[in-house]
Amino acid sequence: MGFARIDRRSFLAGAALLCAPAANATASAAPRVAAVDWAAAECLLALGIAPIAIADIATYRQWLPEFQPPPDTRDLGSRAEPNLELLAALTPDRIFLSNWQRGLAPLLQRIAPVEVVTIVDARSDAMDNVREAFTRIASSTGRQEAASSYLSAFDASLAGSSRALAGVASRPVYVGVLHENGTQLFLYGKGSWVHSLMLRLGLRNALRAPTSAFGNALVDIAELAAVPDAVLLYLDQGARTRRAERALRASTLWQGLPMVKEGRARTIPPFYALGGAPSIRRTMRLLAEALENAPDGHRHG
Amino acid sequence: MRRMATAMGETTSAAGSRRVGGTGILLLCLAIAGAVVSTHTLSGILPPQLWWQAIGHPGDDVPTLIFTDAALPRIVVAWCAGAALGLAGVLLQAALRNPMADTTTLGTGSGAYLALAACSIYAPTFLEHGQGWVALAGSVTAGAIVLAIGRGVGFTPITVILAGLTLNLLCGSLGAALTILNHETLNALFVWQGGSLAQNGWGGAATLAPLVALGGMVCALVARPLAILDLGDEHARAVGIPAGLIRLLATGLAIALGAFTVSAVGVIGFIGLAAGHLARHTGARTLTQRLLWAPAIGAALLWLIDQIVQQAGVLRSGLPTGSAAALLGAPLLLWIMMRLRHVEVAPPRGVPEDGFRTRRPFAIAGLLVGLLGTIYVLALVFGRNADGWGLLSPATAPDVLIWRAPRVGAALAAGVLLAVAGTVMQRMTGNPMASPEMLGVSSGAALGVIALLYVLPGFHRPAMMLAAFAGAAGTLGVVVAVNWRWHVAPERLLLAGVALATLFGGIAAVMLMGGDPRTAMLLAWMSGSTYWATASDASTAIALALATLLAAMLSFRWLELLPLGATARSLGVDAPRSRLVLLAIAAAATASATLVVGPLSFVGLMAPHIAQRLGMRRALHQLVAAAAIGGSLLLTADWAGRTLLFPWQMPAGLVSAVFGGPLFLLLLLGRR
Repeated sequence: MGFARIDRRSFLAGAALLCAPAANATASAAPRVAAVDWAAAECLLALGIAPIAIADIATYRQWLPEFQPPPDTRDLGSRAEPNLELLAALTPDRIFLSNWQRGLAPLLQRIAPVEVVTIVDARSDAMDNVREAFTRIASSTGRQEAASSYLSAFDASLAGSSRALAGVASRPVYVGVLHENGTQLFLYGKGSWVHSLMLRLGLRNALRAPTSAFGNALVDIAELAAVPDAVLLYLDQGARTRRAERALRASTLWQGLPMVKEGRARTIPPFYALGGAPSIRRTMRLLAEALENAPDGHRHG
Repeated sequence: MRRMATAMGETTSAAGSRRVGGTGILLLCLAIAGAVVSTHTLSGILPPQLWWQAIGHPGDDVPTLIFTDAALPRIVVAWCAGAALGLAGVLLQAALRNPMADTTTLGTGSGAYLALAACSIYAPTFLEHGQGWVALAGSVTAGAIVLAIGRGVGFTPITVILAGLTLNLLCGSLGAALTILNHETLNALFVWQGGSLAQNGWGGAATLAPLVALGGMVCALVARPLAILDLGDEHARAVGIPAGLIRLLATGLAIALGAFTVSAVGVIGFIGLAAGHLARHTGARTLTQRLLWAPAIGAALLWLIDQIVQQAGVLRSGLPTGSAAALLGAPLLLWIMMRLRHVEVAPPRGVPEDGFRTRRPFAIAGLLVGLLGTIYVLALVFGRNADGWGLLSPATAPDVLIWRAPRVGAALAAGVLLAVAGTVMQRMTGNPMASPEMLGVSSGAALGVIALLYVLPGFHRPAMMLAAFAGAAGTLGVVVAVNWRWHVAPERLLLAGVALATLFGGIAAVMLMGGDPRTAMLLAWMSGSTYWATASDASTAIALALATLLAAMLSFRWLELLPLGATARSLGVDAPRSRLVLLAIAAAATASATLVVGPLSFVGLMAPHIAQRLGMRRALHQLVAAAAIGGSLLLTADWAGRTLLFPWQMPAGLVSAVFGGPLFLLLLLGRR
């Protein structure tokens, strides 16, 4: 416990240092870029570049609160069909897409050069993808220095978090989102960066079910019993999660699950599971906090 | 289950018993299969020797808990839901005299979805007592609106069906619009839409079972008059049965049963359609027999499907029962149709000829075409950009039009194509419910696209076009093969189309609930979006629209005579050959439209009816009018979708349903 505290403090200090290069970067001439997906948007903002336009900006502000775009950033509409007439009128120098939006590239290339950012794909480790994506975004916007200092701070906090968890978190962990119907939940597994992050933090993912191409699986709550000694961390998505909890309170099955009876099912603040490096940093902090505060989950009362 | 079956065996009349034996055998087979698979599932959870002990003394160790509080209630819920759906399907098919009627086509599913979506965004407090009640409220409200409209027009089956279809599309489109605007908040609802029977205790079964039992009791009251009505309105009138009232009661009951199931387990298609048809084709000839057998078959069928879904292996990860029902059920329905000599269904024959017929078709056609031209030009030059509303200036026009013109052109072409397909379909089959998607071609195209999404990471346009084309061609092949032996008989054609549409709905649900970010794109495409249209797409589509319109106009004689049924033959029409040609025209038009703007084809259902309401009743007049109306509708919808919520955009097909739906319902009400 003592170790963990010190490590967390140092890791927070590291996080504070990080804001410095970001602030400096804003001073130099900023390229006019548009982000059609949020992973690119948050990476750009972390590098000190304010995109001129972001798709579905309202949800971005709500879901990725740590890197807020300036108030005059334009909304491009939905991430599936960003507004082409508007985007063309804004004359960006470069447009960033996620790999799931690759189909938009032929259309958007007629407006400006397009950069496709790969976060989750079936082939390679999602965390490697995220690092590579961050470096590429930085090099295409001339922010290599900011990127390398960000990534070294990223590695430092990863090392810090995994040291903090070593020894205190021995149980396998489920990470996911409760479904409002009170019978099912989405869990993150192989393919998602949540899974690779867990591995790098020295945690074991309790999910064994096969996952979709985007690294998650929809399972019935009965399947949670497959790993009875696991810890369940579910994202606190506000009212939706409250309703799911209310539905589960009436469930005899849920109340009978060992992890629920023994207080090992609990909420963590939400994160965006298809986000880039900043989202992963947030998530590693959240996981470390959740697991080191109640190492074996024997929270009484 | 077995007790139910024997009880039914006793009630069937001696005359029918030989034939109904087939139904009994089918039921027995389904039930035995269900029991065998269940035994396998259950013994995987808890060793069989402990079962009795677990039921008698529920312990709190995990396997016992899963056995008693998840696995067993799930079986009971499957029985209840299957029985309710089967009964609702038979009631509705009898009350509305249409073999394709199913509670989900009357808006129970989409009404519930819309209520859930709207509450999640605007009034989350309503959801505090669970999704079930909100879903039930939405579902019942949609059903009540259908009934109210039906009552307003004396409860004629055609109007109720049209009102139901329209409301279904309207609710579905509004729900989709909310989902597009709030994708991250609402994508969890796709799980609900997939239809899952997973239980977390006895709560669900305890709510559903009494409601279904109550439904069964009410059914006993309307069964006899409805059976007499089933023989024909004249019979009913002779014995003094109020046809309208009985239809209203039966439809209301069916809707209530559908609403109960939807609120308990989500959308489960196909069971309602299949149970009744299976009972009929295995020998339950009279309505009373079917009312008894179909619920039992529905229960056994859903039980079996749900148990198969739970088996470890291929089907394991997250295939929802509702989708599985569609996946397994659609081929089953097609197979039944291949095997049977007679499809003993009598869709409402002919277009009612009592309506108003204009004396000035040319003037009206001229006006409509003029309107189309005006809207076309306005859609091109008037719009919205970052600075607000305005007309295009000559300076900016080229930069804007490279984006806007293809979309406007595609909307125009797709509207015309769908209207032509709809008119041809409705005239060829004599069924006013017929719309282009009932050919199965657009479902096939959509299936192709979904299959592609599993293979390719992005949303690659040229590959998508190819996949959609392959899917469309493949399904058309299946539909024609299924129908070939039966000379493209209209009833079979429509049933095959509905089976394919159900199949598509099921697969799309799996795709949508997978937590895949591309679902946003898929949803937009499925809702009829012109976003992806290129200049060459648009010009090809316009050429195709003109070609199919011309082809349909050249076959006007067939279109005039085929709705007359047997009379057509006596007038020298080679019905099978003419139907095949018309099928080709409708399929070509639908496939082209689907390739350009996706599979949502509400315009195809609506435009021909509006043309008729304007008095354009001759085939040629109706075609031209419907084409102009379809084009205008989709142009307007596309324009509204691009501008009203700028910079957000709504798919044109969806907007056409949202604005056209209420308009169409008013038209139906005005029919009195």
